[in-house]
Amino acid sequence: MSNGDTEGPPRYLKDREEYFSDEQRERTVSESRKMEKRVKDDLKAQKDRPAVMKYFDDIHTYGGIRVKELREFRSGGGKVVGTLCVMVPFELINAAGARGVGISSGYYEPVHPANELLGDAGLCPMVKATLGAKMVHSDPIAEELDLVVSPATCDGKLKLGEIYEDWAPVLMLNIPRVKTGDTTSKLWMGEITYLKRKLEELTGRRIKRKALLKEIGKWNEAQAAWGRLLEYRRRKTPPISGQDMLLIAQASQKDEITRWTKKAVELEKELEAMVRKGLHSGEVGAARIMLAGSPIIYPNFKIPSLVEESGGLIVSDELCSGHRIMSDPVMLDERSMSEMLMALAERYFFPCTCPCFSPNDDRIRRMKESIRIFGVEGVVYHTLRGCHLNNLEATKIEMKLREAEIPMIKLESEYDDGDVEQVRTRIEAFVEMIKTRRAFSGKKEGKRG
Amino acid sequence: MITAGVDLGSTYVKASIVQDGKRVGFGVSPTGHNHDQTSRKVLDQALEMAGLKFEQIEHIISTGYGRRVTSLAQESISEISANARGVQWLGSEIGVRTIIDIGGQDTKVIAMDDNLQMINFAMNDKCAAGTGRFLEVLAKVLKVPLDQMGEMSLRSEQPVDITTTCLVFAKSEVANLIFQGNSKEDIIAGIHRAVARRLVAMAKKVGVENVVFFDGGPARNIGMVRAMEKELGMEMYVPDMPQIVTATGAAILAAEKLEERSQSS
Repeated sequence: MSNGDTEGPPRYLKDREEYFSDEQRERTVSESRKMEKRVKDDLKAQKDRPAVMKYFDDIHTYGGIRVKELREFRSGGGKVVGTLCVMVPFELINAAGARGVGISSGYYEPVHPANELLGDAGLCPMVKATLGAKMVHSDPIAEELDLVVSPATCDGKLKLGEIYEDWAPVLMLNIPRVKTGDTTSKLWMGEITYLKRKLEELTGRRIKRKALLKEIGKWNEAQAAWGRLLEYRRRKTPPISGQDMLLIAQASQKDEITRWTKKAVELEKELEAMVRKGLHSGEVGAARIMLAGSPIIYPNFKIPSLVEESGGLIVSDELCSGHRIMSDPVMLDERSMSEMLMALAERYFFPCTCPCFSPNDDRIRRMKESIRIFGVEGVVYHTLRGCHLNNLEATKIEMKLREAEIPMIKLESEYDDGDVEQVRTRIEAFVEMIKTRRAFSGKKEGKRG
Repeated sequence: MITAGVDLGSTYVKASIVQDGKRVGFGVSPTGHNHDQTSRKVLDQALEMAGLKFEQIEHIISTGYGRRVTSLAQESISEISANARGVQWLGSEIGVRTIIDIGGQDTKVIAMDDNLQMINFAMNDKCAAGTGRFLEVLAKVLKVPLDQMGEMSLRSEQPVDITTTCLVFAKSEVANLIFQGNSKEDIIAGIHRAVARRLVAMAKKVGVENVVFFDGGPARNIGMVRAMEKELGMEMYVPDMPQIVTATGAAILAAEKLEERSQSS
């Protein structure tokens, strides 16, 4: 604002809209489309896959049904709000009459335009891809935004929100990163109240108590459905893969939540029928893996697909792009507006175990709990290159898990396929190690008995 | 029972034949472009040494980074598991707890428990630092045959400091050190020390416990062995044929698979 520009904040790339050629834009679009199709074809080829998964596939299709629906919604005057982090309460967005949609990118090709313009900058590929897609307009959903809500978690996300402002209005939320007691709650509660006001300004509609209560109800119902799906992952031979569960969780941030819940309930019935028929995902005796670390966003399914191709099955995850989207219901004691806002603020903040927080000891506690509940035999901890905070916490988590005799492998990756074979070797060895340990401890126990 | 393991590494292909619990033959050859051809050639070397025919091999397991691209083997296993199995077999009496295996493009550190079961492992990131390739390329820059690096480095009086383990930068650093008039002996000793420091740091994360087993091609380099021992502060056990431990492990696993199958059927 200091530059005298009356149109808004200073823009990083203001005069560079023509920086990228049409050819580059077209390449990014066609490569993204190809990548999404390739990943989806692999998902479809999974053995004994539930038929209802088609819905979740369709929601994620590049330029698919969801883009058309959002476009129609906007042409009728509706407002679409893009979210860049799992800490944004969708309930508020919906209660204001707007639609929320997660826009963090899992596409590889858009990393290149971001790299070209910003240099490597040590940013993680997810931040780069999200920016790059906007720079060359290669993500059809990101072209349908009236507002972007961006919680300032890590350094990358902080600047992502700032730079994004070149193309869409961005609302940054101040995240209190030192996570202690009362002062933190107050700060965050202030941000949520601010978000509410801004959403009301956007849609010109006051968020009414009843509307918010209804939205909270819808999301809690979705969470309950998710919770019932999780039960199937506890089985000895789960009828659903970890990749599909990631796809399902992420679809909740793309689609209308009521339609999502309806499909989740249908899936539950189908899984029950599969179990009765003895059908299951992966091989019998697959190594039970927990996926941890940096966000893994469709179609960047490199790591989970390698795990599940190598004799492992992901039975649990602690990702902000997975289980954490759906993991904690809003707890309402009273139904006044201020109480509801407080309950929302708490749900989206305190259970969040993002490594941008300190202290963050709750993360290992939650991981250990899931390890017990889902019978996890090993943790695949993945960090995106440039995701410094997840990278840093890996050491602490590995040490804690070692004490508990749970093996962990840490893998670093980029948004490209160049390292697939090297990563495969590590994952195969990890899975083989788990199976050998299992066989060996079985023998030992057998001898004792 | 006769089984074979073929280890298709990034720089060398190795084969090992095991007959009734004994290693009876092995072969080693640089990795070419045709994995099927090279692995068959190496296996033929091993067969000749063993005095056996290809048809007599009952089961073949491939390992190494090219394990999935050869049609010679009936199944494949990661080189980490194969290496650990090879060491279990060779080192059951010496009580190995840590394995450091330097390969052409990957270096592995494996931690084992009292029962020689793998409990943890680490591998270098996708980069040539601390691998056989690093030594090979720098040997070329120095115009020194790879197999003379060890002896030469032992004659060093004042090893130079190599500040980077990035191969791309190390090449120009070494070129510069030659230009400054440092002796080849001192430069090679410096290279060994730089690699050793990096590997020992990686090994410490996994956990180093006595006995440390050192294998892979570069374990034949006495200068590399001494540099590692100095950084570790302990002696290591180096087998006679460090480059075929992984292939032998695969052959042993092949025998075990056959036995398992005959028991279950």
